[in-house]
Amino acid sequence: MEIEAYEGESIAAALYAIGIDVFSYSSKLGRPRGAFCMIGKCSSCFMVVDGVPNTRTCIEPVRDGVRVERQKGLAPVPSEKTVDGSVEPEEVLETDVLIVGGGPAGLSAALELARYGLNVVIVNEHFKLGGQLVKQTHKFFGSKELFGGLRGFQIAEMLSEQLSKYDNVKVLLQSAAYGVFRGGWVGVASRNKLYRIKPRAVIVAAGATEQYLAFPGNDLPGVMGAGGAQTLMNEYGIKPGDRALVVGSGNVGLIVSYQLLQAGVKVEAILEIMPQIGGWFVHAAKVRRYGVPILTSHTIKAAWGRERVEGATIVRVDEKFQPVPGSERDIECDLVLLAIGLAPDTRLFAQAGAVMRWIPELGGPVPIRTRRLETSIPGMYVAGDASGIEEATTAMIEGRIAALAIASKFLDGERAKRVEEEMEKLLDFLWNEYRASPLLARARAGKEKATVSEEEMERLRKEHPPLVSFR
Amino acid sequence: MKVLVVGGGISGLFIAYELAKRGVRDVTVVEERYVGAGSTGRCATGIRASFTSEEHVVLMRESIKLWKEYSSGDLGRYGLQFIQGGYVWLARKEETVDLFKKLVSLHNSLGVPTRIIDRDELKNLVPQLNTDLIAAAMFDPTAGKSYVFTTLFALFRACRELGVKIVTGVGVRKLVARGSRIVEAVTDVGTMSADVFVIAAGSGSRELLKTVGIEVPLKNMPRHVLVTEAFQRAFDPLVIDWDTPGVPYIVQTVEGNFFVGREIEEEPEQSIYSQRIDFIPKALKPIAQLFPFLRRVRVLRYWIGYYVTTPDNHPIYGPFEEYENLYVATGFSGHGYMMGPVTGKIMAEWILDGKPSIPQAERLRPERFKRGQLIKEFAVVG
Ligand SMILES: Cc1cc2nc3c(=O)[nH]c(=O)nc-3n(C[C@H](O)[C@H](O)[C@H](O)COP(=O)(O)OP(=O)(O)OC[C@H]3O[C@@H](n4cnc5c(N)ncnc54)[C@H](O)[C@@H]3O)c2cc1C
Repeated sequence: MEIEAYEGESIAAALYAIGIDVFSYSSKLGRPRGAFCMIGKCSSCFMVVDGVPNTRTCIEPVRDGVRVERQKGLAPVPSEKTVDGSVEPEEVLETDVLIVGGGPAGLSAALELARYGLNVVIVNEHFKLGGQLVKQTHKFFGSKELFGGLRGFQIAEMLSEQLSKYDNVKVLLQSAAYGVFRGGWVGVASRNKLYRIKPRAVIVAAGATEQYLAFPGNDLPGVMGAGGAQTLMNEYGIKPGDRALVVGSGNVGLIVSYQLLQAGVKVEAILEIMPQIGGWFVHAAKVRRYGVPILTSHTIKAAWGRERVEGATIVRVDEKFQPVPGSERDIECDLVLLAIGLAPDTRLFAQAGAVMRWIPELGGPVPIRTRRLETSIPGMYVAGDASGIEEATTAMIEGRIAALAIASKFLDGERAKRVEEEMEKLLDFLWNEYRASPLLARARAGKEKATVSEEEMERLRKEHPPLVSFR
Repeated sequence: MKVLVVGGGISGLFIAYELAKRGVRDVTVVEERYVGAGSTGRCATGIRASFTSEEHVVLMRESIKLWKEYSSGDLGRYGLQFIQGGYVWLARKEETVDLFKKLVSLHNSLGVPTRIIDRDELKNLVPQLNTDLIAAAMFDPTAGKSYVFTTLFALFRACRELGVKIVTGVGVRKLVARGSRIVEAVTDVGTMSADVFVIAAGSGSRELLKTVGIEVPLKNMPRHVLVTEAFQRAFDPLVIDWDTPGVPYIVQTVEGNFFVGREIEEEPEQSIYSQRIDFIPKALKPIAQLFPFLRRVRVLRYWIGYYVTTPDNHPIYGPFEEYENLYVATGFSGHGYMMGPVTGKIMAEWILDGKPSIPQAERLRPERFKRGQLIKEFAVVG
């Protein structure tokens, strides 16, 4: 079948737009699978693209004449024909700073470093820069410096636009940093080319992945991350379904419900396992006005359907979060959105052997860092959601702080001092003003737990000698 | 009789399994991290008897017999598999074919039916192979592979069912001797006493034995490997690129991933958490020459594991002269997975019967190094 798509659309979105939601069949049981996260962090949307199986179609842009096939279980090994000669030789690059991730944190860091004339390589797995900003359609709060009044996607456009003016910044799209190696090398895999990068410092701003929930039928097409549905609606203007059940009443669950309603999707209910609503009152009030029930002390027991979700069974839970027998109820719907939180994408830190700690307020294991955002791997910094789930404005501030911390080391004399002062100002603003808001109390508590003094960091490095260093 | 086995790898688990099967009621395996956390969970699972020392050949012939038996018995019910897909050694050069011919007659004289195969037969066995680069190959049809996770799971279940206690997350820090006996093991959570102590602690064995004054010449050599994403079954044999330095090899796992290894120069004791950026291209370039489709295949994971090596590349098996109730099974030099079943069998025999039923195992006792009675072996690969 021949289909039309918009330029700049992902293959997954283009297929979804014309009603194709089964992308593959699983390898053992042949179960249908569709898109889940829509940002390249899971493996739910694998398809055979131009003969290459296991291609993540949510971060693969459409192009003229591209051949896309449903993958049925394991694919046969690629045939000689698909093995074209377009693989380029590996390139060795040296740079001042390598930034992993082109979302709000990574872009802000890159801009800051670029301004000071440092050489930057920024790698981004997606074919577009902007990260989660791209699907944020709400207006940001705060001053002009914090992009107050602008919408997320506008900020993304602005930052990318500014960045493109610097020729000391090299942007590698559709590229993944695949590992940190002995001697301070970082490996980057682009589509047809490998890079061996030797940076003097690294900022990892790889974002977050959506949390998953275990229940029968959780792999059916139509079971999606809340963010996945937002990508479809807000970024591509595609209606993700007709009748939705939303699991989780935190801000993400409430906001996505509101956006669903605006897009003409009926929201059957919002489930919340806790006895009270998780998100802010303003957001809850908005969806309630539309008559959407928010069922506290409820969870999803199963999703069912043949090729796609056709409904779900929900159940009440007791004080110990155990299902109450007999309280099951069926809800017909074609969309089950999981909005149960995000987990920081800290895989590079784990692989590099950074000292990490499980911090529930931040969504999972995160690297321990100093106030300047340096981790126990010398010269390896963290910023944005990868440092612990917070929000886009703090991500941008953290990106700048990490950049300034690095710049203060690489520049000398007066300039270094100025940079240092600017960083201190930002730190002061972040911790003593911005995060003083009660709305950020939980994230703040988490970030406090993850942050240690320079002396404590030295002690940690003695206790767990880093196997790799960028200094 | 109370037996304490230190190490929850393939060796420790098979030893515990055999002891329990033979009626020992009180067997405890103490594992510092988790089952399979050492070399076992990191290995290529190649299984073969085509060695060039009598000791290895005899032990491995028995081990293959046991792999087969177990895979259709209780362990098989829990998922243990043995796939007799063979091993293929590729000769890129003509002179290597001559060497292979010598090896074949050596193997044949020891009862292992390897043979030389030409390019046509090779293409049948391994259809994706670019045979233009190959002169001929040596084939061992009795060799095979298994899958490490299902093996470990099967052993874990079978051991538990037989009443073996498996304690994970607890390290043994020290052994305590009184006279000619070991009396207890000091662990992270207190001391444990037993009648018999078995050290099957892989890369941790050398340091543990030092705590009771025993020096064994073991080295922990880092070995690098990677796996690709999974595909439908493509070919069964483990394929070895003999004429490329570092002897790269490739094998498709039961789950469909391609497992590729190559020896690169390393210092012993180097951390296994210090990966090298040059490894992936070094391993894949020669293998992708042979298998062009690999150029369109993604690497999923890369890791390092130790080969626990001895000066003669043969394991250290059996009791020590210094103590009457201390046994060791380690130093497999890259072949401990395939030896797992026979390790379990002969170690249980040593402990319960006083000697192993395979006399060649006696030559692998730890004292051989002091006495200079090293075993000679010719081909240490895979
Ligand atoms: C890359 C690679 C490829 C290989 N390929 C093959 C192959 O194809 N075929 C083959 O037969 N072999 C292969 N091997 C070798 C094989 O993996 C090993 O010989 C075998 O797994 C050894 O098993 P083990 O039980 O003796 O040791 P291990 O699996 O290392 O188990 C020892 C256990 O002891 C624990 N331990 C250590 N110290 C202590 C302590 N003080 N207290 C408590 N617990 C402790 C460790 O955590 C570990 O789990 C390969 C090895 C590597 C690294």
